[in-house]
Amino acid sequence: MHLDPTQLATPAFILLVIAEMLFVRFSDRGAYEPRDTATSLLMGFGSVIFGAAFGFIFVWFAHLVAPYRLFNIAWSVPAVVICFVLDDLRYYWWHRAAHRVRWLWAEHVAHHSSQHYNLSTALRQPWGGFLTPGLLFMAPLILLGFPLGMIALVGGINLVYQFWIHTEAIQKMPRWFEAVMNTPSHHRVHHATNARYLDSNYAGVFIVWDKMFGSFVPEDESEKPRYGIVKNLATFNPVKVAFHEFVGIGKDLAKSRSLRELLGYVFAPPGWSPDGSRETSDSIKARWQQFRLGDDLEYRRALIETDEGSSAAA
Amino acid sequence: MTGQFLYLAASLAGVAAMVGLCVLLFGRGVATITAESAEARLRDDIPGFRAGAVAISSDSQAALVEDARDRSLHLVIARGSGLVSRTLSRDMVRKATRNGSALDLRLADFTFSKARVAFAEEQSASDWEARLSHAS
Repeated sequence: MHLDPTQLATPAFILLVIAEMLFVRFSDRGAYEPRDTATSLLMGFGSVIFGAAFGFIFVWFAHLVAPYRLFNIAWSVPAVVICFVLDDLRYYWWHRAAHRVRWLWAEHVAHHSSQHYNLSTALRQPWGGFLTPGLLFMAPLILLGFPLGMIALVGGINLVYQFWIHTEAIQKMPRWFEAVMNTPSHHRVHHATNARYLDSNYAGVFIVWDKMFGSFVPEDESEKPRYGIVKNLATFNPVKVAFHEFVGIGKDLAKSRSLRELLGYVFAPPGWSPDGSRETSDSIKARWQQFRLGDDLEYRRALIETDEGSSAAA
Repeated sequence: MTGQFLYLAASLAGVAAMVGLCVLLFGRGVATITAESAEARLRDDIPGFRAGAVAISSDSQAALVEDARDRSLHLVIARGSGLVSRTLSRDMVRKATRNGSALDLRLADFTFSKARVAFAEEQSASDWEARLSHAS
């Protein structure tokens, strides 16, 4: 029997999106916009089609790697639990790479392209996975000997968990939960384009990975997240949303003049360019730090001047 | 096969119903641009941005804004209920042509290849065309 958690959870997804729409309408938390929602829902629909059409690549890859597995792990509850935790660690590193390597970002950017953050955003799933080498991150689990069905099952549960954290309706969960699990608050930070929040909170289910690997940034109540991508898209067309970065890579490759440029356009962080004329998240953060420092110096100078003024007056 | 088509058709009908509900609850949110909102968008997108000259289109759907620090030019347009900005650099602007009081821009951007900024007066379009030609 093939158990697909995302398929089973789809009716709940739909009901929860409707419930959140009603909540947002009658509260001041969160926002919905019809065209944005349409794009997100169509991308969710399209991802099922693309998943079905290109699912054979996962099967092919798994069968390619499986003969080299170290163990033969049988189905059992402890095995599923261990597989789930290790798969979440796999997700963390894939996700981190998907934000730092343009080839992988070209697929993942679709999920980040909404300027809104609500449960429909969770359904804004990419279509271009078959064009990236993201599957390679699955290899360790297959090599350890977990059954393919188990890997698919825990991957599905991971995806289902991540649905509910795409909301502004929930502010904070209990402290112990926030400490261990990925929550709406942590994931809002991940979807934010504010310089201070860029490239953080890559976790799927357990936020502890970010704390372990130095990518955790807590939500600062004084700085509301602004959602989207650094260069927000000016389209609601799902096809363009899904593939625009692949087109960008293609155009850059066509004009690259050396192997360094070619490799840079594919493997360097999104926004990399040979002459540094484009913005990467690192350069934005550096400029923001510089600006903040400048601001701080101006503020301190003003304080000193005020202080001197009041001293003179006294 | 028929079952799969029915499943797909039902899914699409479900998407349409949810979007319909969204329209009922939230309306067709379309942002309008003011000098303040255009500047706020650019301050968010570009750390340290300081607005210089600003021109808002007559339909409040587009704005051209100058960065007072380096005289670079930026386009802000309304997309749904949000705003989107682009720096009008040499590489970005493929062509800028004035049609009466409107300025038509062709941009090197797959998701945003055309933009029209319609001014109330022809003189404004002409002024901004000149600024753009300096920038590009």
